[in-house]
Amino acid sequence: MKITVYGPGCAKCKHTEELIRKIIAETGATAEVEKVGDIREMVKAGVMSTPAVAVDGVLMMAGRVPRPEEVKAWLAG
Amino acid sequence: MSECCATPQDVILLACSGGSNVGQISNEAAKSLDQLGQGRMYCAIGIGAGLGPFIETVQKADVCVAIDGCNVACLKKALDNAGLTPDVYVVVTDYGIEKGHHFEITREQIAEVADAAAKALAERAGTAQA
Repeated sequence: MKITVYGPGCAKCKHTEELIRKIIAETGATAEVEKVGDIREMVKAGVMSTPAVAVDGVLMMAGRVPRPEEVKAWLAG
Repeated sequence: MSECCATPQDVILLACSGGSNVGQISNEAAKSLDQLGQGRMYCAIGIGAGLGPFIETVQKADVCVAIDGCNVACLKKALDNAGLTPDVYVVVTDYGIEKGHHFEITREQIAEVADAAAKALAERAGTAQA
């Protein structure tokens, strides 16, 4: 599973990445996390608000930090 | 605009928004940049109409980004007529996109133009801080 966190870089974007990494560590899930701050990649991905999160290339949410239960649900597949 | 990653500066984004593929790419690129917190899209047509409050808003902004569709440069000329000079100027056709009277535009084309403007803004910010 590949989780992509989109955001040019700010407190909420960093918090989103940290939260996801923390939950992966806590649950022992197998997932790779990448952070994308490049405007070109964000526009290509259809990101219209940040922070945004995609799971295996599918945008799951945007414009806020995800709730822990949302992240757990993504990891559970 | 995404407030999360919004630029602290007052960056005005203007697009020619013309009646062609490249005009609409300019519009979508400006919209994307606004949505991603790089600035706020503003009414280029108000400047073209010579409306005082619109011109004043751009004069007072920290940075003006102008995206023209092609080398006819309507937006640049409108800004010139209003006594305004963009700090960042991007022309869509400079990126190998051929102008045509159609609206078949791709996300990749929009991304390339938006990225060019974003990089120019970042360079300018780096220069300003030096």
